[in-house]
Amino acid sequence: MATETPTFEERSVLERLQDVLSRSVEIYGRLDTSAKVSFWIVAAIVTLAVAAPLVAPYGPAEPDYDASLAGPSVDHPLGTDLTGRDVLSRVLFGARISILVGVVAVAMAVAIGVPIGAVGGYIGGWVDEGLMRLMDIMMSFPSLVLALALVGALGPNLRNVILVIGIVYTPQYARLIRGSVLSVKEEEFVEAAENTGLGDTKILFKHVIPNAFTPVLVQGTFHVATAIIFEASLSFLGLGVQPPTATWGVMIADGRGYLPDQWWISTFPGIAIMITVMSFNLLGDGLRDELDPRSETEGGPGA
Amino acid sequence: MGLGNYTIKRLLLLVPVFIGVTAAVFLLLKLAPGDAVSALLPPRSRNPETVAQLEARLGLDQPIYIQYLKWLANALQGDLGRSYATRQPVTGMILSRLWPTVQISIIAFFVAMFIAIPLGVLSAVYKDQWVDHLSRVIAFTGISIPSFWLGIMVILVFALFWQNWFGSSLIPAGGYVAPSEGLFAWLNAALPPGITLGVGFSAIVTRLTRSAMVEVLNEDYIRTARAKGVKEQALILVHALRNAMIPVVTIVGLQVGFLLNGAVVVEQVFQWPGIGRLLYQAVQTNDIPLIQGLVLFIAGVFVLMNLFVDLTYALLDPRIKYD
Repeated sequence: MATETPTFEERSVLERLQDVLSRSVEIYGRLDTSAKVSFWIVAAIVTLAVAAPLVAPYGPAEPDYDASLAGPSVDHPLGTDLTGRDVLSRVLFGARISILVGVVAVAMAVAIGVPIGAVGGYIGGWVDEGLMRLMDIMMSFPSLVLALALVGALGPNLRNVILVIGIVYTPQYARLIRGSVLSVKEEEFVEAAENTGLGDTKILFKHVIPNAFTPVLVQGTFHVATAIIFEASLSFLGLGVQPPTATWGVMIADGRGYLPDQWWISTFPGIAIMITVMSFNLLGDGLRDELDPRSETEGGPGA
Repeated sequence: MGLGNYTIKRLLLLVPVFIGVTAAVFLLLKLAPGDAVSALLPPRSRNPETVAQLEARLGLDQPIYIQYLKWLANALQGDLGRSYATRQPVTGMILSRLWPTVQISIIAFFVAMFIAIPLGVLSAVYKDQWVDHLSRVIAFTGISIPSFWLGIMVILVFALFWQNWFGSSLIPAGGYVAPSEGLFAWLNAALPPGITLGVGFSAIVTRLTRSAMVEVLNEDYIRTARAKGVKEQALILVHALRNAMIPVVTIVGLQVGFLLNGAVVVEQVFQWPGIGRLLYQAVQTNDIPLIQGLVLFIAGVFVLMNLFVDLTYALLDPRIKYD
């Protein structure tokens, strides 16, 4: 648990950054081998996604009609699709969408879930009961079914996919923060802080959120993994990010028409999803074992 | 509080859940862009007047809460309205698609029971040994494979490539075969989607069984039994497993939602005419009564499953207090 000393606020931004960095290095050092390896795979995937325009051999929508449906070769290591677009380049550009959706959707869930959980836990009573009942409803409903109905209503595009996944994941963070608020409420240092006249918001940011940081980090890592499968599933169904944008789900759907002879179009994006999702899952598992061994957070497939 | 009162309390708590989900979906679909009503009319007779007439006939000119209450009241009597696309009663459409989904869910469930639970037990008994590491790799792979892609790969290898290699495919490349058409033909068609659905499910169950078993094996009564000379095999199978199964059964029951999520994509890949595919088709054609009906139906199944699991849990574990 991250119990910050009251002097935290008095230090400079640089010192605080150093603090976070040294703590991260320390956490990394305690991870098991598979989590360490996963960390570097995740780092590599994120780097490749960010640097896709620099590292991809071709543009994601650059046709080459002479190389239509070409198998894996030196020029096109993962082959090409109907219009001769390079599958490797499209997989690299697809990583940008997957990582973007994963990270932004989880950030959104945290940003909505934290205030809900904090308010519920702080105020208690029927407000808490009402909010938590609402969270239970959302959490208990099959997420893809809900997402399908929501995307169907809102219209399929990148923004709505992120929005829907963010909403679907919100309850978990509300619950985590609420639990943390309830335990912090009991602790003496908050009483002490209240006596010194600290406002509720300050208590929230100085004591409650640092306390809940670890479980949120673990849950967030798992959620990025499931969000990536979630986005791919929606895009595969034609209810997510729309072609011609290169996304893994869209590529797999495109390639189905060319099986079995041009098997590479559908196969490689799926392997990319598997490696990415597995790395996030194993990293999350390692983080949980090290930071939060008693927690019940568990990764699971989005679809 | 006795079990009877507990049941009633749980049932009452489910009412707001049910109303919340259905009201939210009802509202959202009403606010949706795109005009489902004018799309029902042939393009030539599509003018403000005919649209208004049709809206009046469908009751869409009334205030939204009236529409919702009417719909809910009808729904509780089993009438979910008629599909915009096929004009058939929604209730009948859902019921006819239910059985195929149940078939593949049962297969997925069996896969989990016969592979995932033994694997989870082995992992816990041989914790941190190679069996445990291997099962961890298998489970994490299972969790990380998108089921729609796995389904495509199954079809690619066992239907399409198999055809190229051996002259005839091992499994059909999709499509429905009813159990009444013969056990072998049915299994041949139903096992691929069922197993595909079961992979992610089993991965979760393996991990859950493992952690439940690890916890139970550390309990005092297991150590006592061991000290008293109970044979290791009996210890694990009788004493530990039975207690570890309580949380596992609960969570497996709660994974109905997971199976329904999976059904949406797996049924699509295997052209399996179940509930998931029906929902997909309804969303594709913007068939609002059908989407509403399906969401209501799924919410109902889900709520009842939750209740059932809760009560089983309370029955299995006498330590649970009904309050």
